[in-house]
Amino acid sequence: MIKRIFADTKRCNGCRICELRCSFEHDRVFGTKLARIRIIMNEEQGEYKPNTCRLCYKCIKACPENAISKNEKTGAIKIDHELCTGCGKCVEACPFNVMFLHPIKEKAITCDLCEGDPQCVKYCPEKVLFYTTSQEFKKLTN
Amino acid sequence: MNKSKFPYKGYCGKIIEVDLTEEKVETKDLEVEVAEQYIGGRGLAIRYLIKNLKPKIDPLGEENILVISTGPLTGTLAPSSARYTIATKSPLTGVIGYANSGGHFAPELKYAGYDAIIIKGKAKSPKYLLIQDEKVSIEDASHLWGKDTWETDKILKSEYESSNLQILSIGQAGENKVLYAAIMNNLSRAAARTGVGAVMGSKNLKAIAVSGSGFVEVHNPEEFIEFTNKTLEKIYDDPAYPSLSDYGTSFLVDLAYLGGGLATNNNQFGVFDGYDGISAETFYEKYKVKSDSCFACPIHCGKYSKVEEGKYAGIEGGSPEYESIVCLGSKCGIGDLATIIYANDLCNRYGLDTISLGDTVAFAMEAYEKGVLKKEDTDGIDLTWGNQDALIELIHKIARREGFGDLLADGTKIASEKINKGSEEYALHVKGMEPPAYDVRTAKAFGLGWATANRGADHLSALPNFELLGYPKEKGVEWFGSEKAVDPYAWESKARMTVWHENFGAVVDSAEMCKYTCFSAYAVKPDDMTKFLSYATGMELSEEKVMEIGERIYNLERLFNEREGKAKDSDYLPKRFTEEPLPSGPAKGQVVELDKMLKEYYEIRGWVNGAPKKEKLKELGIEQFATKKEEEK
Repeated sequence: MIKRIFADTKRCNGCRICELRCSFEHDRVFGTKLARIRIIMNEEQGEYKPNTCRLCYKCIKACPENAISKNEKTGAIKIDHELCTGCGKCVEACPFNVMFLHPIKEKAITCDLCEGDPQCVKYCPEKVLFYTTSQEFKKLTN
Repeated sequence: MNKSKFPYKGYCGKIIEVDLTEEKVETKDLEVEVAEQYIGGRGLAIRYLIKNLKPKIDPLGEENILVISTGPLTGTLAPSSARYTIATKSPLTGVIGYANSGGHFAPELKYAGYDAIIIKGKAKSPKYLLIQDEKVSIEDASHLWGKDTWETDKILKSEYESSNLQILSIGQAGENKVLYAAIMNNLSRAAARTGVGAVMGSKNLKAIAVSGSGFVEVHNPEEFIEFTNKTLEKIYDDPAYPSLSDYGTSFLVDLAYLGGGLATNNNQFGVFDGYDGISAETFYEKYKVKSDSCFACPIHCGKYSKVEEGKYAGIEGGSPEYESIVCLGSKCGIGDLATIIYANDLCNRYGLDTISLGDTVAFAMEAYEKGVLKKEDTDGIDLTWGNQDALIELIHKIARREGFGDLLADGTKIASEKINKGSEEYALHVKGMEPPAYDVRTAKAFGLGWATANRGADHLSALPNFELLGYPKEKGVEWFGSEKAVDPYAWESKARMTVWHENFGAVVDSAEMCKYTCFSAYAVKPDDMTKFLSYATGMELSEEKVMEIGERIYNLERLFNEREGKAKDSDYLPKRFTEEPLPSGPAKGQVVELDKMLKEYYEIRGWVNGAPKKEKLKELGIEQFATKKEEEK
């Protein structure tokens, strides 16, 4: 079973530390628009939903440059920035709005599961995020 | 992206200067010297104001300036560093005014490429400022004028749906220049104190909306992240962490209750019959839904709450905080959290400081109790202690400046001067600003801190939690040279404690870290802050240098007050705290021994009766800002 990132959204408090850990892990700087996990904020209802790649692989098919593939080890999306032209087709194709264009590099970015050690999961102060299978996640949150 | 050639990392190196009169926007370089001598945030703000603001101007006139400033840590992973300062000449006090807020606004401003925004002049019609990376523009806000802060947030977000705007705004209270109007962001985060919202309203500026696609870079990423992780462990290990994290600041209601300092009926008592209705447990069990965090904060003391039953069923939103629970609650004799949550919600929407508002209502209630105010004065409102409907009705009237509300919209001091008839005796304020929640007869360093705070009665200027945390006596000796330092009822060693907290607090507010990280867990002390700032900026700093920056900022704020002719004899407390002993409870008989502490305090500060000596100013390199004062004479 493939593991991916799940969120127990009821408990997410919207601190966005996951976003900062993500941008730091990938770019060694801090910026939420560089993050591959992003919290959808509904402040009026106090609802915060961490949103990241569901591994549906629609982006792979959408890429005209064959720049997107599957990481053999983790099953994560792998983007070859040498081949990526930043055309944005994958961004359009992503049903979950978790494929982004890097604002500086102007290349596609999405969650790469940090090679199997996702930093967002590791450092979430509320332990809201899980790197696990869907069955395990159901058990954990029931 | 606005990447400047600023020599230090952590900063953007750019500030936005807006002239609303001329409808002009300029981007300027941040002065290197300002970063080196004042860090950013609150330090940057006072440096800018003292240089650019003429003394004795009308705080609500065109000449006043609003400075909105972030720190070099803002936007990074440094714990709870997403704060910002809004500073101005206060219309409530006539001295330096500033307020500090968290949420998500400040990091967004940094990601857009700016350390600070300066607002000058006055717009001819309602405007808002729109910042989208390098694009900065003044926009028409006539459709927003008259709307509350929640509506304003919603409308602006819907107009720029794709850009993830972070918004600060004023509600009707700021538009109507209520002297304690707040500036709100993220719906329930308030830059509340000293009437900064009234100044924004006087400028016809409704909101500032920002989105940024950039980032903040630190000087030494590896050391920075390692030190961040180390500090996080300290925060999580702190014994107080679960209280703040689970209960939020409401746990302080219990702390105040246990110490006999739960401010009740305009501080006539420190024991409240209705305690059960406002206790931390009641909040946690009946009203708290979940945590609601500021950006990059591991503590997340903010809570989201909801009223499930009764008259106010369905009301929901951020917090209320301890300060709001007491000022809107027990100070007015109200022991019902549902009412307090509703009152807090109204204050957030109208954009009102819950502390000053609650206090002003409590003052009016005491005047009513004493027969000084009668129903014919209050538009027929019955101001008996505990009248929940009266509080709610007054919030509406104050925000709209209607009838009796217009009198209370100017705060306790001015209201008491107008009411007269001896009401000044129980008009509680320092320098014209109403005091926070804790009854300082049960926490003497806090008492001194209220008196000496540059912006008026203020728990956050010093925030000497050290005396409250039940530390062992040895720790008192180690930190402040006395066993008494850990006894909140003792006055000895509290001058030294207060000065230390005030100076370091000025640093914390300039780095824009949250005081709960620094003064609750003491997880970030001056040496830790030195590391954070060094790793982030690359500046050559030492602990001594950092503390000197804090002292410099504190003295410069005091110079600002002196220039206004309001430093001398300004460090007082209302007689209620110095002459009226607490009548009952665990702290029965306690008063604040202010004179004894103040004498020591001035000696340590190198001040004479509230004004810094020349040598002190020279030592701190700010004597040039004092000359104006002498020219004035």
